[in-house]
Amino acid sequence: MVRKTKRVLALALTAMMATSALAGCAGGSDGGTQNSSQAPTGNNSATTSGGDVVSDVSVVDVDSDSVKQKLISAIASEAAKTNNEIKITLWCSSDDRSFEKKLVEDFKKEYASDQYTLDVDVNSSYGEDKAGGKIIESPGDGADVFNMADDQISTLVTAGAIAKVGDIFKGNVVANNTEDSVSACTVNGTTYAYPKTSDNGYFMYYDKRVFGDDEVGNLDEMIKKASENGKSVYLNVTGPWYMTGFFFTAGCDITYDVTTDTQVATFNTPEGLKAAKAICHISESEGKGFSGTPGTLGDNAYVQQGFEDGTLAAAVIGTWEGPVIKAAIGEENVGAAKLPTVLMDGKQEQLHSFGGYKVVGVNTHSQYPTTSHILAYYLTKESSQLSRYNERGLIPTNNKALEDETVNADPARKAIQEQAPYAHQQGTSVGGTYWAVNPQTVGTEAISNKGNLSDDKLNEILKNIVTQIDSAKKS
Amino acid sequence: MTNTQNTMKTGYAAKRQAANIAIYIILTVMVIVWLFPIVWLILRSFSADGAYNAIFPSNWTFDNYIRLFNDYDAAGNPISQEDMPFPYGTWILNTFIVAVCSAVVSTLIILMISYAFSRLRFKSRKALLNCGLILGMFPGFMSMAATYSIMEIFGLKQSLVGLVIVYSAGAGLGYQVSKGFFDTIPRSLDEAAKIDGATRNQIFWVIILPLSKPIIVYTALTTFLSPWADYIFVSYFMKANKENWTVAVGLYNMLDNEHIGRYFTVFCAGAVLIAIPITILFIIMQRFYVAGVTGGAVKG
Repeated sequence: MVRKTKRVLALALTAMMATSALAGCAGGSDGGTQNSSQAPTGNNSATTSGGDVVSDVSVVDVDSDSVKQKLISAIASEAAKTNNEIKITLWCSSDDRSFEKKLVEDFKKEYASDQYTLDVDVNSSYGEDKAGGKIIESPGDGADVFNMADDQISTLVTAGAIAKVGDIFKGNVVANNTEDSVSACTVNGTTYAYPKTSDNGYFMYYDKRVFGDDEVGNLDEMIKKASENGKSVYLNVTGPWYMTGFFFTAGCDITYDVTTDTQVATFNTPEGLKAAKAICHISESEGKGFSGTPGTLGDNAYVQQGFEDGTLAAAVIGTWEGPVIKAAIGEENVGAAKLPTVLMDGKQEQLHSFGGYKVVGVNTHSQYPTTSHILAYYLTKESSQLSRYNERGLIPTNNKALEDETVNADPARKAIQEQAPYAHQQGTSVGGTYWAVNPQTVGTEAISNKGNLSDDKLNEILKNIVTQIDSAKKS
Repeated sequence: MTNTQNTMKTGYAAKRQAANIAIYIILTVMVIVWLFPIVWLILRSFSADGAYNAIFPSNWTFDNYIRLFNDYDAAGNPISQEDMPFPYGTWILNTFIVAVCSAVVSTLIILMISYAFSRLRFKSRKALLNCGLILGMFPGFMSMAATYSIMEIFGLKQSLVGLVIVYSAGAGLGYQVSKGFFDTIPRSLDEAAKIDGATRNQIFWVIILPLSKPIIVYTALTTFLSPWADYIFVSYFMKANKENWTVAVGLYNMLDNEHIGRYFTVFCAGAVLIAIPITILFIIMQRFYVAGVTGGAVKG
């Protein structure tokens, strides 16, 4: 009974907030989205229903003319503070810059008004991998709106540097994007970022001239086939991001709690040993149809080079390498599939992975929070996601955009979708300490010993990793 | 007789030859060690393939140098100047402006301070000399954050002017070498000029400076070089303001994960280009440079 009243109350509050958001937009400088400009404190949202994803928020038709007019007058009231001129900065990766610039031009046209001038500087100094860190470093100098990978959200929230999704847009963001992408943008029940693309994870690209579409299910068989063709299959077991998949597969508990900054990774268990032995098993084929390390090159350059000189027949990597691989072996020869199964404890098991999203965030220190939120929404709405796919090949998160014919036919989209049940969210699995303790020592040792490691030795390595994680927690 | 002489000679010559051979072998090894990275860099900069574990490129090209100024994307479409991910030309220009300006300002400051310390006797001279020495021991980047805030107050953050000011502001601490040089110029010259009615200011400009060409060149060169090669401060100071980055920061950004695959050879080309002006400058100024260092090192 008490629970029910609470829920009803929450709903009522939600409705009130949504209306007040609209009213605020139409009215004076107290824009409804201003709430989100204040430093977030976590569990303080009246709209939280207790679950991870807020679902009972009313969806406002943001693109309708009446709402648009209200948004324009909200921008106007914000502009009034600074001589009717608005200048905001958007950070994006340099590869995306020309496309994002086009979107921004459309945005400026869509929300143009003679009451103010709107200027957006599209800056590509920091890509999606660095943006969050640079914002935290000095929020006052950071961009108003920035593109980043979803795993940076939790630290940004802790630092109070990322604004909550504007109330008026929240319904849209929650309802129109895949549930998983929204939950990746949600910390403690509050949604902080606008999901943009769903490809910040990895799957497998392969050369169709070597593998038939039904021959990419089993890693051992793939290695055999590749070796017969004088090529190899690449899976970076010396990279922590890729190698962690084995431990997910074995069922290790890998979780990260951002509020207490606590990392758990139960590698020192029988399951952890199973995962380590599976890595050793494939490492036996290192140089004989399998390649488990990029050496000094780094993943991207290694994969590019491998497909260019024909030494690689398949590689576990993400969509960002798609264009490069297509250019190297020809678009018609590129196939994509979910990760293969690996031999673990005598059985073939589907390999798990990290999955993630690229998202758009708004800086809490922005001078123009309302305008920034409108831009962030604009950059991630359905039509923008679709044109982003068409021009840049980046897979959308928007439900409707995902149903689009061309998107649906994309092998990468299918691979991501098939891998999704086995893909783990980075933000809730691992934090900074995890990367800092070099969990990949299992992989590097396995590769340098060609998989020839005793159980005792493996147990020792695993125990060492866990000890380091635990001691990092205490300090 | 002749025979013995011959054997003796050969013995001596052989010894010398052996020593020479040993010395040359050591020198050759050292030259290879020192030159290898440079040769490798130059070879890579002419490589058409992205691979960077081979020493000799399999395909030669001049493309990497062109891409520094006229880039194209992965699909081969040209990128407009405005959209260049790495506007190398702008960066070179920035670096040049900052280096020249701070070289001029710093050189003046250093020479004036050295003159004052060398010729004037005032109460706190000793204390200031020691103070300067100790302050000079702290690395400049220690106060980076504070400097940034100060520049922010003056509205100069992320600007080239701000950068010049920061580089020149610490210049006064580098007085040691030129003070040493000034100390070697006989004071009797000053006294003669004084008798003729010259002020201290006139003595500095008319008597001391014309006699100090080597040290002027040396000071100008070193102050020119430090902004040219500085990474740490610029990267902090300029933050996301890509238009105002200098070459060091820009080039380093070519090596991040997102770009290294397509830009490694371009990076090499950029690194070779940046070395050329400095090398030429050094070859021309070498004479003065050596004279400046040795002159300044004389105890005064």
